[in-house]
Amino acid sequence: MPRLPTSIILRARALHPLLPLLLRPCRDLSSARNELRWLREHAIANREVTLTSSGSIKTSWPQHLYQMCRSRARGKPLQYILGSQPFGELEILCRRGVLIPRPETENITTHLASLLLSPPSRPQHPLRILDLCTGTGCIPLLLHSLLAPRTPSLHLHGVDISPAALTLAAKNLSHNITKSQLRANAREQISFTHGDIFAAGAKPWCESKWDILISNPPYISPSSFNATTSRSVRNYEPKSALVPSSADPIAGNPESYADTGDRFYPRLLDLAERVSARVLLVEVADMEQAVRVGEMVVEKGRGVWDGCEIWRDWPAAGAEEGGEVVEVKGGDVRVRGEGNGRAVLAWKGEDGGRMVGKKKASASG
Amino acid sequence: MLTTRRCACLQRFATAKRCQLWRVLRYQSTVPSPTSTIPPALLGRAQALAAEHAELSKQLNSEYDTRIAKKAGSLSAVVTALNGWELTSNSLPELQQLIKDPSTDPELRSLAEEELQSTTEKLSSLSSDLQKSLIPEHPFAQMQCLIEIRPGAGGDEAGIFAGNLLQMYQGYCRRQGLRVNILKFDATKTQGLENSIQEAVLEIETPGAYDMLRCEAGVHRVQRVPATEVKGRTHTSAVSVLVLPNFPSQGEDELGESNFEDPSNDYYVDPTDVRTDVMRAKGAGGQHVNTTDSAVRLTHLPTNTVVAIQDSRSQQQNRAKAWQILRAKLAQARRDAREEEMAQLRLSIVGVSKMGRGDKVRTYNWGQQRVTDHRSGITLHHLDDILEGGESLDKVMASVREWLKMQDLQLLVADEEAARAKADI
Ligand SMILES: C[S@@+](CC[C@H](N)C(=O)[O-])C[C@H]1O[C@@H](n2cnc3c(N)ncnc32)[C@H](O)[C@@H]1O
Repeated sequence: MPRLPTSIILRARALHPLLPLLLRPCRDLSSARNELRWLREHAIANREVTLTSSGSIKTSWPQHLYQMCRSRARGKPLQYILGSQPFGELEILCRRGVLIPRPETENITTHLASLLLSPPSRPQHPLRILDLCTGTGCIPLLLHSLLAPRTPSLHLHGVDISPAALTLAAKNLSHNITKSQLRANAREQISFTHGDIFAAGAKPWCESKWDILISNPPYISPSSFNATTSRSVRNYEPKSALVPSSADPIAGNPESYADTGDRFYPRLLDLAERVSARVLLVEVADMEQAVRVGEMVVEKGRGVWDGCEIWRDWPAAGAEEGGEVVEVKGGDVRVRGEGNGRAVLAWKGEDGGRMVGKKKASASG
Repeated sequence: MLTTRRCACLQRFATAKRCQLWRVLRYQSTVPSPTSTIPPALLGRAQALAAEHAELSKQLNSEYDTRIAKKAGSLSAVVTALNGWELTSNSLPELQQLIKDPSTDPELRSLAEEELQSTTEKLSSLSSDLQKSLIPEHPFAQMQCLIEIRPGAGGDEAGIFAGNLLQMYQGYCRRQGLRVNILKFDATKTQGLENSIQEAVLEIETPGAYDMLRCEAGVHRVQRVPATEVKGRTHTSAVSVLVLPNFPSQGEDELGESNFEDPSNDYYVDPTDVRTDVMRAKGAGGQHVNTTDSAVRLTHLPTNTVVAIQDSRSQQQNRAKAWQILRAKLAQARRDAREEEMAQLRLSIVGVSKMGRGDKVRTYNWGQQRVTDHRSGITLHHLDDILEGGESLDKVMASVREWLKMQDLQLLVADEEAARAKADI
């Protein structure tokens, strides 16, 4: 990491004595000032006022603020310090050991909800959505907050291998109901279970049918982990949420996925078929990975998926007509939005196409 | 009551002397004609509106229609004011004749003189009522508003003064019982630990706040010795205040439940004209990084209007705020553009100009503890009370509102004259 120019450090110090600490993880003055403001608000809102034996008032918030800035300077994520991350209108609680929800996930989840709600596709029957690798539960919770006001019947289910994640997901469900960010019926309509998506054998969640399968699986390849992740991610977030473990059995051809972060995708595609999903949305690291996942979809053939497209970070942005395409297995796949390659969408049948706003089911491949 | 009765008895006398009155009338050139207190163009307009009102009332009598009733209702204030004014002004010439007539007996003359004085006073207030009834209500008058405060040249000193103004408006709103929120507060602490503001936006949620506060728009100037000034020199710096109409909405919503879908509306913003930039550091993003980059910047491409918000950790909240401010800005800009067009038209016809947005409107002088508004010309020496948003500020604002009315009237006269000129051609 390049050293920060002395001039910035001096300016930061002139503005506030704690800013230089925050400059280390933030790298620029305006983010550092934002973080200082949020940390300060947090310290004041959570201050403990105690009376000393002599009767004078002792408030510890400046000290608390100082400690928080020190932790932040060491790279501890702001979300673990403050204990939460806004996600749509929700407040998702964050704890060490569980991955912090990312704004990119917030964007693609919101975009999916807006497709599901736009006129031709309004769901009539109970809509069933399965989220594999659910972590904090942020995806099903956000989908509920967006869909429930206009969807009579919903069922959302999250699965994760990590017990810590499941405990936190359940907390997040209650927390947002208590804060009235989620309707009370979310308690019946959202559920979480423990599960390893690679485990053989029948689990209740993979025996039933689901309309939509969504997943933000670990997708960083072990070899690039050190080079591409930030220090704060490496040192503080669970590696098992980021990098597919080498112990995970590799479905399909072992060579082609070796040492890439692609391990989860063939399995997710198989599971989507097994639960008869008509829409599949998976998050990916970049355009290269998106194209590789696109190839897996196309290889499954027409009988399985009727269409497929790639979303960038802001799928709603940019031109509607005459958009970008990328060649996948000799055919064209539509690329939507702006930013990095971020997700792959696939749909099956006329029904699946209609759900995500495709006028008729047509393969883009 | 008394006046009416006296009037009635005067009228009797007057009728008796009518033949004499006609004779004297010819010598009355020095007494201003009562109609001269109201510009003929405006009187013409008032009469035209009264005629329209009469026509509408006739229609309503034969068949009731809510739209016509509403239109007639909006004109009734003009009709009432015109009737009052005509009644009083018609009684004037007779009084004047009585006074000038040498044969009027002294008792009656002194009665007539007294009567003339009170009638003239009454007439001037009736005439101002009539004129004001003709000013069309500002299209945003019933709206809530946003106040945007930005320092101009002058560095930290201007930023500190922007903070003074922010507090002044907060104090004013509290005292007036207006609901006020801070929508945006972008400030740094100076050496002396005062807030130096780069930009602040207040949201005043009470309907009608736009009309109350629009007199505050313009450049506010401060003259004082800044805390940082070692040689004790007085500095002059400036802060610009924008007052924008606001809409009680939660801003844009990707799921498409916007209330502003009518393109003919000033607040309509075509979403395809707006580019959203989320100011995220370049790089891999996704699982690779975990910084909180929730800043949102909206650019309205056709006008290149930019709004950037980074107050909240929630990108959704930042986006909603940014849309709210963008809508307000565009609506005001559209209104300004229309006004500008009208002003150009008037200028070309009758030479009335209006104070532009960039003109300085008020000076706050610390040394003399004085505030002068350059539009109404009012000067008060209660600087502290004004800066607390106290009653002295009410006085200043009232004088400016009155000034704005006079401006509006002048424009109205100009418009009428222009319309007449056109009709004559
Ligand atoms: C990248 S995180 C995504 C969390 C959450 N969906 C989000 O978007 O913030 C991946 C999650 O997958 C879980 N996971 C890893 N291996 C798994 C497996 N074999 N079966 C189920 N979940 C697994 C991790 O515990 C982690 O919570």
